[in-house]
Amino acid sequence: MSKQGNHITTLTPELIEQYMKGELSHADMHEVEKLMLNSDFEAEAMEGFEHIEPEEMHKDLSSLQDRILVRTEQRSRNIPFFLKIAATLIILAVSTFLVIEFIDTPATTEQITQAEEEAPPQTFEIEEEQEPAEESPEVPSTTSASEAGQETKDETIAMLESEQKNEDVKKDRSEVKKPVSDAPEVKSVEVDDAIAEPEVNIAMEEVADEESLFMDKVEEAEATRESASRTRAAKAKKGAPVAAYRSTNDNVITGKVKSAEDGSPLPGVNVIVEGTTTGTVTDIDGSYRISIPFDADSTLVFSFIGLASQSVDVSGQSILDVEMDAETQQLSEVVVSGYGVEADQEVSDDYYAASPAIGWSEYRTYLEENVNYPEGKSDKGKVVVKFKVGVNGTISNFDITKSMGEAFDNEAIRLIKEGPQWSPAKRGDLSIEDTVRIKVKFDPED
Amino acid sequence: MANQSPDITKEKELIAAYKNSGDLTVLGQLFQPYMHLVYGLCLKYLKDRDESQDAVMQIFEKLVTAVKSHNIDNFKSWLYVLSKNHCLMQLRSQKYKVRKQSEDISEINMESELLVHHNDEAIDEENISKLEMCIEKLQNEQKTCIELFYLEKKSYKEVVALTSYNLKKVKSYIQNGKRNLKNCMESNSE
Repeated sequence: MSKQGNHITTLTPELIEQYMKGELSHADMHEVEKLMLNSDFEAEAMEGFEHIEPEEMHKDLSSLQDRILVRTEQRSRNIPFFLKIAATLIILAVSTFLVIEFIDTPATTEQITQAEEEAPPQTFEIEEEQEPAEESPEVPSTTSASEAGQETKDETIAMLESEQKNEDVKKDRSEVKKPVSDAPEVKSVEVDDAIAEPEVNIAMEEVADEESLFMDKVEEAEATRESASRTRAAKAKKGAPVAAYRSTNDNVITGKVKSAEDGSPLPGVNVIVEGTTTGTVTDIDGSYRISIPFDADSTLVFSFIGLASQSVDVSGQSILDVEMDAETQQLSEVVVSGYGVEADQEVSDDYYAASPAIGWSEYRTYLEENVNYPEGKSDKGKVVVKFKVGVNGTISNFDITKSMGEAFDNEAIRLIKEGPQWSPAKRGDLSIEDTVRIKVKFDPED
Repeated sequence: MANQSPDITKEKELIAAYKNSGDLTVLGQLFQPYMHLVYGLCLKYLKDRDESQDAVMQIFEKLVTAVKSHNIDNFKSWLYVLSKNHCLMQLRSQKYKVRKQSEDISEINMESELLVHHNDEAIDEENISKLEMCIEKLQNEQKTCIELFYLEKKSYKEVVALTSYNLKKVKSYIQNGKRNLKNCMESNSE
């Protein structure tokens, strides 16, 4: 190739090729070799090329050139990068927001869906109320609740679920129970007193839900109309099947649910027929009434947040009273976080959260009894402490999630550090590290 | 044209221009003259053509940020060190053993993994008397090869033919000889 003077000063691909093919004169070869001796870069590159054919070298180099060209023509590299970060953050923010929304207001969703879902889930009819004549979907749904037949339908269909908005009857909150979410709540609203009476008075103060209250009012305003049309829709969907149930000889159970601790009635307790979506809720006196479909298991499940659920077989019985105990795992003292662990057991199979070795109940007692109020302070409040429970039950990594100031925080940490041992969390048989949050209450009156 | 030595000042200008603008086409201009050397280097270590081509692209990517942030005196040697380190890292992560060449390792300047000074040093051929003396001091084989290569400007092939040493040995003698001469010259000038 062309040279300047007699000296070859750089090693070009052409030169490399020629050298390898032996096309160079000895003098030129010498020059190339000298160059390589002087520059490690060239020397090593040449060595690399010795392993491939010149044609391959050509091909590879031109393909590389193309790739570089493409690469250098991609402008604005930094800007999209920034945008990518921004976009990611926005998505994170939005999803967090959505998650919070969903966690907070399933009730609302349920309520809203109640209207729509009247029909699909199995509903339940109370035989007594039935007036067979009213089956036909053509029943005009005019609003007024005074159509007894219509009412019955409404009622029957609506009933039993978690709530009932009854404007004539005392309408309290509709209790929206997540556990009973499959039970279609509903509204059937306008119901004659007479007919309504035997129904359930739902007055769940416990799980008062603003939404339901609001909806109650709305219902009042247009309740009849709505329920009527809903029921109609429901009926239209159900049509025959509804009749079928009607004529079946269902087993009707009634009873009262009381607290095991003090015998007081428990309103708002979910009562479900196991294996179905049929259910009801106890009224203000703790009473309930439920029909078990003919072909279902005759087991009733009683559940309520904070109380231990019970399953009871009712075959052959028609009256069943139940006493419910407090749940040993006090959710009120353990804050469930989105990703942590804690007392939430409903997640995957065989996962057991970390817990105090002496049990939650005793631990709570320990906390209450051993609180040392910081000097000179008498604030009331709570401190939430987050910490890790290691595979051996050792606790570490204390972090204050909710603070009441240094004095209280330190006291809370001290309580936990010096407190009873912890049993580590388990997955199956394997102990795993876990994070726990403990709420320490400070109440000068305790 | 093809054999002009790289214009150092022009390169410095390109580097500065790239630092300012971040314009990839400038970087491309900087990189282009050495691309084949980088590829050859990668071939030497990685052996595989496709891998080596990917490595070249990866090295270019590294340049995008590295040229901006480093102070580069001599682009060619800096690029050499960068590329070589990249290949070595690659090999390490693949858990291959780097085949040591039979070449004299001193040929590879391992003083630092970072910026390396331009290590092209031609033998000072003007200091002939010193040189002659040092050559005399060399071992026979080295002396022979050095003389044949440098003084008589023979190519390796020719040297091999004339000495019947094999190629690797010839290269080795020449490099060792060169190093010894350098030491000798330096110690003489002290």
